[in-house]
Amino acid sequence: MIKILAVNCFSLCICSNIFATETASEDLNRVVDPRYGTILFEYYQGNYQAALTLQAIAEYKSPLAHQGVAPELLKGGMSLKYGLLSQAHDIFKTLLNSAEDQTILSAAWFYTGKMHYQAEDFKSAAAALSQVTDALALKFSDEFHYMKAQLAIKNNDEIGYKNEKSQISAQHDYHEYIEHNALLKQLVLNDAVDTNIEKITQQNTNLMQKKKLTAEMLALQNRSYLALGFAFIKQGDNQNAIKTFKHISMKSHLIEPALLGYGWALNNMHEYDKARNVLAQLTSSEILTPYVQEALLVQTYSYQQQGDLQAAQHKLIISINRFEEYKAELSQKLVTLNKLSWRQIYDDIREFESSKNNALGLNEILSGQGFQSNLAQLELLYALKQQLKTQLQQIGSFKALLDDKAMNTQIRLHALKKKTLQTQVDYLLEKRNGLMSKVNNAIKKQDAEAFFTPSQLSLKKRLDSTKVVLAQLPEGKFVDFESRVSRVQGRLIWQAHQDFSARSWQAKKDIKHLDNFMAQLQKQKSQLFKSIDTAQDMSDELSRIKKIQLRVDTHFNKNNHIINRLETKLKKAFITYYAQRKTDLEQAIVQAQLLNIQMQDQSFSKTISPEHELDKQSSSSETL
Amino acid sequence: MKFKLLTLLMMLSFHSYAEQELSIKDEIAALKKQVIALNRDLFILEEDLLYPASTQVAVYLAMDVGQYFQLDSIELKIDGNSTTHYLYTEKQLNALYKGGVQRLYLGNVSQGEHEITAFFIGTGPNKREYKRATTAKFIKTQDAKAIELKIVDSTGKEQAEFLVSEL
Repeated sequence: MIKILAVNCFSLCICSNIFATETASEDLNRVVDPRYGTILFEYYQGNYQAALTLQAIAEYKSPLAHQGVAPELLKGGMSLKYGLLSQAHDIFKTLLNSAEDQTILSAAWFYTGKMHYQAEDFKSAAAALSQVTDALALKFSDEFHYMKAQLAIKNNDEIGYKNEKSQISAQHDYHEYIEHNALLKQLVLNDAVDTNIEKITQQNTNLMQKKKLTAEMLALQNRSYLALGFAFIKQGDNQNAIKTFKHISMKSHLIEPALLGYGWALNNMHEYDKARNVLAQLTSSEILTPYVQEALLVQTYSYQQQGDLQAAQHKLIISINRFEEYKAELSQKLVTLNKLSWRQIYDDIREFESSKNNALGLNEILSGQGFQSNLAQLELLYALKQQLKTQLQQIGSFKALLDDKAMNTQIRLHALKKKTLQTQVDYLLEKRNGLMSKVNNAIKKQDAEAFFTPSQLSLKKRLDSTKVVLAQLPEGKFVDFESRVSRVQGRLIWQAHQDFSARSWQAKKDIKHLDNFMAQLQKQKSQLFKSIDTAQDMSDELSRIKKIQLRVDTHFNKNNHIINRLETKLKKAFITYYAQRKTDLEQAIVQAQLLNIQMQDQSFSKTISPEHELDKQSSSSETL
Repeated sequence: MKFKLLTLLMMLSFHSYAEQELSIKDEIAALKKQVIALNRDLFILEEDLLYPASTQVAVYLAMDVGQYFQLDSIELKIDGNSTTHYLYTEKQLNALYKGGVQRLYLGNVSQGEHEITAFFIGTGPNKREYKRATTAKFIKTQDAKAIELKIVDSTGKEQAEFLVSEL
């Protein structure tokens, strides 16, 4: 039992210290690349998943511009802390083969040692840690010596333990953990308990009173006292056992075995009434846990030892009745458990954790470390499932965004084609063609009037209208006017003919300019259309989204598959546990019934008078 | 009876299906790795879709020591528009003190000249409330823009300095 407690405490220590380490050394933490800084920002907050994601993003884009292999070392450390052991193993292996810097090498050996330590491969852990040199960064120092001290405890190397312990910072919590483990180790080694029992008690008391206790330290303290109490009973030192059990908190989940131990110790000291009173605190519980069951039998034993067989028998009958009742309850529980879905059982567990009581009476099984570890795994899977769900939602929103973008581009394209570009270009082209044919015709027909300037055109209009007016007036009265108009008109035409060649050349030149401009416009138009066509093509993004979605779906299904396996396993564990409990109870009933018969015989023998006894003897001799 | 007692106490520990557990552990590790890879791909996709380099601007915050100024919150404005208002937890501040860099803002701005203003709110020397602002101009080009805000202790002046620089 002590060994189990020691293992439990040991695992507790490992888990509690996972977050205590810092990774790179001081100089390595000077941030050169802000991306590396963002990774550190998450890492220092203990958000290992976020930090690893940021590092994966950075690696995908370009190598991190930071001192050498420091990011790799950090990644290895984070992988270890996030439970990606094989990834961590690969990283450290590569680092150990490639790095030359002693600080990096020492850190890599330290992490390799830690990895083996967490996997409870203590031999490999010791081998890796022995490779660590003085170049190890200061930040790793405490954890390094802590692990070495733990390994020394395991190897019963007291000198090594003391040496490593002395190198841990004075104020570090590691002292409490390793002192506690050293104490438990001493308890496991019976000889040490014999000689150091007082010292250990004092050490344990001092150790736990050092500072304000956290919930974790309190749990550790209670476990320690429980182990110590039973060690005292084993040594026959019931007085000290009682003192030790009294230290255990009434709120602790270890109070049941503590009360049982307390009762046993009193019983051993022949303090039967007191023992029964202590055990009554346990037997008054509504749920018949193994400790309550045992307490009922101890109470019977206590009466028996006191010589009060009648009371012992009475107690035994009460116990048998309670056992029978609970056996029926267990049968009912088994039926219920088979019918319940895992979700309902899980809700009951949650209820238990919040109120420390539940309908199924799961207290016993839930305190098991193996079950708790499975439950932690299941909760992690639920969290991963939630993440995958979020990823699917994100993919959905990206898809919607792309659809929206594609639609908007389409609308914009149409608008541009119709209103901005196509119409204008076509219109200009038409105009240009009209102008061109006009110029060509004028040149062909030598029509100088076609090249009139705007002022010439206006003058021609005025002359024409004057001629119309003169035609309406009496003939011969305005001869002078008519000849002046004809003169001006003739002059106008003469001037136009004079300018014809220059103007026709100018017109051709202007049209050429216009053609160049039109060609440029056409080019711009095609470029714009091309870019719009490119912008509209989002098939690459859509294909990326599709691939990611496929991966998310695959892993979502995988996750569900593991969840189902684990849920089935846990449910089976519940059923197996209760079935086993029922079998144990049946055996306890048979034993109690046998004891009852024995006690009946004893009390019957006592009630027979000596005369009767003699008669009985003579009659038997007669028979013989 | 004593033997039975010890057997019962052994129920403190519940062990089962060690091999299967190991395999589940491996599968969970593989799944964790995949979730990280998916997060990475989604993040890159998001950046490509929502924050293309031609418009992307990222603002980072770094700290050096923090003896003369205890940061509580930061407000960030770009061209007078409030973009971020961030309140820090103790955990985040510790991460910054240790050398972490926070990406305070990721957004889009048009190409050309812009103005960034950061308001640092916290506790200064003698535990007095302290609010400081710093402004800088930057030109956004075709490439992604990264700006760093830095809180540095100036031992000479015995107060904190708030710097803005382009990365």
